[in-house]
Amino acid sequence: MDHRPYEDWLLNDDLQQQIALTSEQQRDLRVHLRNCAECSALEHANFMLRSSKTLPPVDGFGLRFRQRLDEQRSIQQRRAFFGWFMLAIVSLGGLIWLLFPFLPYFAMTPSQLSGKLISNMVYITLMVRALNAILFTFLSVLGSLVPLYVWMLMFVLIGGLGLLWSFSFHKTGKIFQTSA
Amino acid sequence: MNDEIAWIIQARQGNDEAFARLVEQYQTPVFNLCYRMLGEPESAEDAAQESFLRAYQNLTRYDRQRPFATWLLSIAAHYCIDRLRKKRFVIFSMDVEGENDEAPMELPDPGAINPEQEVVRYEEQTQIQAALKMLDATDRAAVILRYWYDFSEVEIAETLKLTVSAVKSRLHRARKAVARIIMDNALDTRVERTPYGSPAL
Repeated sequence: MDHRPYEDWLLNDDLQQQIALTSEQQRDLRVHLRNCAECSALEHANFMLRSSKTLPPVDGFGLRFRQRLDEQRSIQQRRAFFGWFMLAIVSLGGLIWLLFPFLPYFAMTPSQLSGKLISNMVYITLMVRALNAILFTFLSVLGSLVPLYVWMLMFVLIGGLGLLWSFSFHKTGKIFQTSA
Repeated sequence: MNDEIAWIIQARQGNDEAFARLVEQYQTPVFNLCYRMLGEPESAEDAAQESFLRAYQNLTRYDRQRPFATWLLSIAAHYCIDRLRKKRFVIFSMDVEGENDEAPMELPDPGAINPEQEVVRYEEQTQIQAALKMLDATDRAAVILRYWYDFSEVEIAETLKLTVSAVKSRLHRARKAVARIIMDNALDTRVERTPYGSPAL
C-alpha cells in the first residue's frame, strides 16, 4: 500500500502544527487510516506518546539528594586529606634524602665549617669557568661548521613552531569555552 | 524565573539551600526523563540524583544565556545515554527477559472515576515504555524530549549535541519503530486470546 503523503503528514510535526490540512486532505487521511494498519499504528503511537504522563519521584527526593551530596563531600574530603598526607610524607622523605649528605656539617667546628665553605666556593667557581670554556669552544666549532643560512632556517623553523604552538593553545581554549 | 537566577547565583556561591530549591523545582522533569530513558524507578532515582550532583559540581560552567532546564535535562540525558551504553556490555542476568520489567511506579488507580479507562491508560503506558526500551539510547532521548518536554528539533539538537537534520531523521525513524512495536504487541495480544476459541466477552 502506498503510504504517501499520509505517513509524511503523520510524521511531520511542522505540518501537524503549522500547516493545517485542508478538509479534503483530512477526509483522505481518515479514509487511509481506516484501511492502513501501519499508518493507523503511527497515529495511535503519536497519540499515546503525546498523552503520556510525567512521573514524579518518590517523596523525599530532595532530602535524599542532600544526603548524597553530604556523602560525596565527605568522600572528597577524605580523598583530599589522603592526598595531602601522602604529599607531606613524600616531601618529608625527599627533604631528608636531600639533607642527608649535609648532616656531617652539623658536627663541624665553625673554623672547619668556614674552611669547607671556602673550598666548596672555589670548587664551584672553577667548575663554572671550566663549563663556560667547554661551551664556548663547542659553539665556536659548531658556528664554523654550520653555514649561516642553516642557522637562519633553524631560527625561522623554531619561530614558526612557536607560533603554531601558541595558536593551538588559543584554539583549544576557544573549544573548551564553547563546550562549557 | 528571577527567583531561579537568584538561586543559581546563590548556589554557585556555595549556598546548599538555594540548590535544594532548584532540586525541588526540577526533580519531576529530571526524574521522568531518567525513568523514560532507563525504564526502572530505582535506576531512574539514582540517575536523577547523579544528574543533580553533576549539575551542582559544574554549576560554574552553566551559561546563563541558556534555560537552566535545558542545561539540566542535557546533563541527565547524557548521563542516561552513557549508562545505557555501559549497561549493554554488562548484562549477565539469568532471569527470563521481561520478568522484572513491570514498573511499580505507574500502577492503575483502582479508585479512579473511570477504572476501565484507567486500566487502558496503564496498558498504553506499559506499551509505550516497552517500545521506548527497544529504541537506541539517543533515539529514545530525542523522542522523550520531543513528546514529554515539547522540545523543538533545534533544542533537541542542542541538548543532545547533534545536528538538526540528524534529530529529524532520528525522530522519524524512532516514531516509525515505536508504531511498529505497538502494532506488533497488539497483534500478539490478539493471537494470545485465540487458543480459547472465543473472545472474553
